[in-house]
Amino acid sequence: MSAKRNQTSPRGRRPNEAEQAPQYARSLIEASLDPLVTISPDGQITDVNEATIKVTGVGRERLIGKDFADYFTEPGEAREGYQRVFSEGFVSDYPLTIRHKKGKLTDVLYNASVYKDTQGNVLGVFAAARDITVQKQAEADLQKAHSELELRVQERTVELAKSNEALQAEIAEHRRVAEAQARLTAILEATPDFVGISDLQGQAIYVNHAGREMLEIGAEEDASNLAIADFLAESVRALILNEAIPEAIRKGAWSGEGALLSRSGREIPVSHVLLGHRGPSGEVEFLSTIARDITERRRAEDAVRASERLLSLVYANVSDIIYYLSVEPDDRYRFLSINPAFFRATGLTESQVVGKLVKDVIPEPAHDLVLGNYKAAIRSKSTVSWEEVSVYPTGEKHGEVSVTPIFDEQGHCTHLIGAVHDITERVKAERATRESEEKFRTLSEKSPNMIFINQAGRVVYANEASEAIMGYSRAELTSSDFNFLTLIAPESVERVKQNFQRHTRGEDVPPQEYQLVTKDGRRIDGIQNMRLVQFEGKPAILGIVTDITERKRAEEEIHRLNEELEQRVITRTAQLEAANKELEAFSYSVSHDLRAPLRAIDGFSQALLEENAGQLDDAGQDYLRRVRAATQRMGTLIDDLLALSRVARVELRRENVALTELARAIVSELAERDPERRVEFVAEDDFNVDGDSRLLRVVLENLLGNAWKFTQERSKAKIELGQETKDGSPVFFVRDNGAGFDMAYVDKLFGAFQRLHPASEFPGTGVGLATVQRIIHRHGGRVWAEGKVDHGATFYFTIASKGDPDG
Amino acid sequence: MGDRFILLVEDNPDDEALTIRAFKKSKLVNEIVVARDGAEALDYLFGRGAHAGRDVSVLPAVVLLDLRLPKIDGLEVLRRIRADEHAKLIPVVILTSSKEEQDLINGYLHGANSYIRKPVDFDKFTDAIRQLGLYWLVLSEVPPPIP
Repeated sequence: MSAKRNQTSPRGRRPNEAEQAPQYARSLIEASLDPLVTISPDGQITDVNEATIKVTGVGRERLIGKDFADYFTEPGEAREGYQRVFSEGFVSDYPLTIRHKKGKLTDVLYNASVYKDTQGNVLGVFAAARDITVQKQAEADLQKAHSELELRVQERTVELAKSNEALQAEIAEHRRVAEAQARLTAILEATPDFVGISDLQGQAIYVNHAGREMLEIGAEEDASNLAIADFLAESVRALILNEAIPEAIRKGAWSGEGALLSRSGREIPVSHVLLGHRGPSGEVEFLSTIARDITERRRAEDAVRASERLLSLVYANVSDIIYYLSVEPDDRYRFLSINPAFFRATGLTESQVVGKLVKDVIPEPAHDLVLGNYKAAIRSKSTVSWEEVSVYPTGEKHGEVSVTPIFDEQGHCTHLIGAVHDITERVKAERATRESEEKFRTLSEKSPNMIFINQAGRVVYANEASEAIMGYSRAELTSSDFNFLTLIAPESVERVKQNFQRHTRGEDVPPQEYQLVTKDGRRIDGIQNMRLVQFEGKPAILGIVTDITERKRAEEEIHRLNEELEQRVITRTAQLEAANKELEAFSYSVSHDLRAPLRAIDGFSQALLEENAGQLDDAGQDYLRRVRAATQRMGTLIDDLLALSRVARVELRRENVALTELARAIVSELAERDPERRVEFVAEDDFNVDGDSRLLRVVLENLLGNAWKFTQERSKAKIELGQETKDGSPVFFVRDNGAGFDMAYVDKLFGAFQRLHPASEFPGTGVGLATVQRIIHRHGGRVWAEGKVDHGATFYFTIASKGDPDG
Repeated sequence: MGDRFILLVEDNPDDEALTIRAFKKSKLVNEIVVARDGAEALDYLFGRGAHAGRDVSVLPAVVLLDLRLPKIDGLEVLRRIRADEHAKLIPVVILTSSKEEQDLINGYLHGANSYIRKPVDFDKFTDAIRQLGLYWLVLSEVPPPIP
């Protein structure tokens, strides 16, 4: 497009306006660096541009008019292309090679088309070549490079194939790992245990489904927001944080029991495993935990423990005996264990039983029964029960025994376990009931009284005496249509009915008398006592009727006799009272009136002796002294007789009497009165009796006074108050070593005025022992004596204690 | 002690004689007035009957009273003495043969000042009288006359 090209047109002239349009086309052609050519329909070159001249090395003038095909290395192909332009109107990128006259070849691509005049007549072909040598070179270079590349690609491909293979393997491995991981995750998600992963700071990384459920963490919640410390129960937090985690980091693992804390504050006992996971560096990088909810296990363990405690409590405290035996060869059974109920029941001790053979513990009489039943249980492989009686330290024991065999896997019986229910009390009660029933029946049947049991208005039992007395057979009496009220006299029926009702209400009704009517119409007096009893488990009335017809008659007779007797007693009492009065009056007279003359005799004798002594010779004075002595003796006699009669009349006043003390007092009085005497008195200190102290004093005064008197000849007089036991009762005695007496006259000792010694030897009135006997008899006692002439005497007496009949 | 006299109530003349003798033997020379039954004793004390007009303010130093007496017995005499305004303070000694416990108790119950049993033995009787006289006539203070 340069104007210069236009100026350098080959014609060298300035074209006119009309010619100017082709001039422009020409400039354009010449300016083209591509070789352009126009060819006539007959194939001769008609025009070329500078680029064509350059590529052919042939000048324009030489070219025009020449066959265009001559300038190509392949003229045929050129002509064929030329033809195709005519046939098709144009060709594009038709490859040909132009030969320079010096041989240089230029590869081109032709675009060609026919050109026509304004009338449409074909003028020729316009062909434009595009030098593609550089392109071709580039293509060749490219080709070469391509080949090299190809080679390198091939090499690379091999390499790649190799690395690909490795990669494939790696990918497969990755996939496998991924799959495995997915499987593991699925397993972790599916496992019912808590699984969690955390970093070393205790920040959670992962918590599985079960863990989330357990701790009440939402499925979508990000685990990394959770701190594990928040999910540990207070009670174990320190343990886990301060011990478990450090140990898992240090040693790689920790296991133990803990407790988790859910969001809502629920504590979940768990069994923990804590793991420390090491990274490539060998350092622990994160922690995982597996925790199993052991609530159920705890409950189960608690339940087992509770059950064991219960079992051992039951074993220790149950009232039945439980025993456990080992089975040994030759029918030997050994106690392995037995509960305390056995020791309580038998009185044996643990050391006498545990570890011992059954036959060495159970009393011999039961051996065959017990061992036989053990064998039977083993043979039948089942529980066997029996009743057993054995005598143990605590007595006879009845037991309901059972035994159950225990077998090992081979079917050998290794142990026996059993129980004993102590039925001793029941057996005793049953026996007592049986005996009591037997006793009742025997008593009832042997009883002369009518005995019957009445239940719901009906006689259900009647004894033999009922038949005999009432004249009805037992079958009649106990028949269901028998009205027992027909046995009662009509006037008493109402009362009997009332009594039945009162008894039924449980009132205490005293025995009742009324008349009964026998089958043959006789009337019988009866006295009936009733009791509310249980008969065959139901309340019934037990009636006992005593036939008192005879007794009543006898009673009436006795009553009549009694009345007579009473009248006689009244009469007799009056007589006796009168006699007594007389006697008392007599005693009073004796006491008062008899003594007065004695006193006068004595007094005036004395007066005579004093005032008239000069008128009496010695004999006369002696007579008067004898008169005085006699009156005084008579005075004493009267006193003693009065004492004797008073003993019979005086009222007995019983009290505790210190006998020994009383005796000592009397002996010292005797010693005072008779200071010359040396008498040894021996007595135990603490004799006490129930009696009238005044009268017992009289007894001791007499007995000790006698002993004192009858030992007067002894240089070593000895008086003893003692006590012996005879027929289980105390017997007191007063013993002396004095003159004694002849046992031939022993029965005269206690009679009034009976004397065994002359008054000249031993003064006395002979009333003392009679008084003693009367007093002792009044005390319900006995008095007797033993003696031998010159060998002393012993007087025995007993005193009946209070409550005993007054003799 | 010349005006301190004794009233002896005694029906038995032997005992009367012996009692007076015992007083004498005991050197007790007080006057002894004798009443031979209960009625006479009371007449004397209260100035009645045979003793009507007697100055009843003059009372014996002691009355020796037997229990068994004709007409009115000793206990009744004692009872009436104790019931009398003027005589109730006179010392009365029962002097009797009775050894009955009941007599002893009744005597004291009726207000006797002493109870002496006459022993058979005269020596003992004399001894008893001597002690009695010594006590009641010499040692004891006589109650003042009651106006």
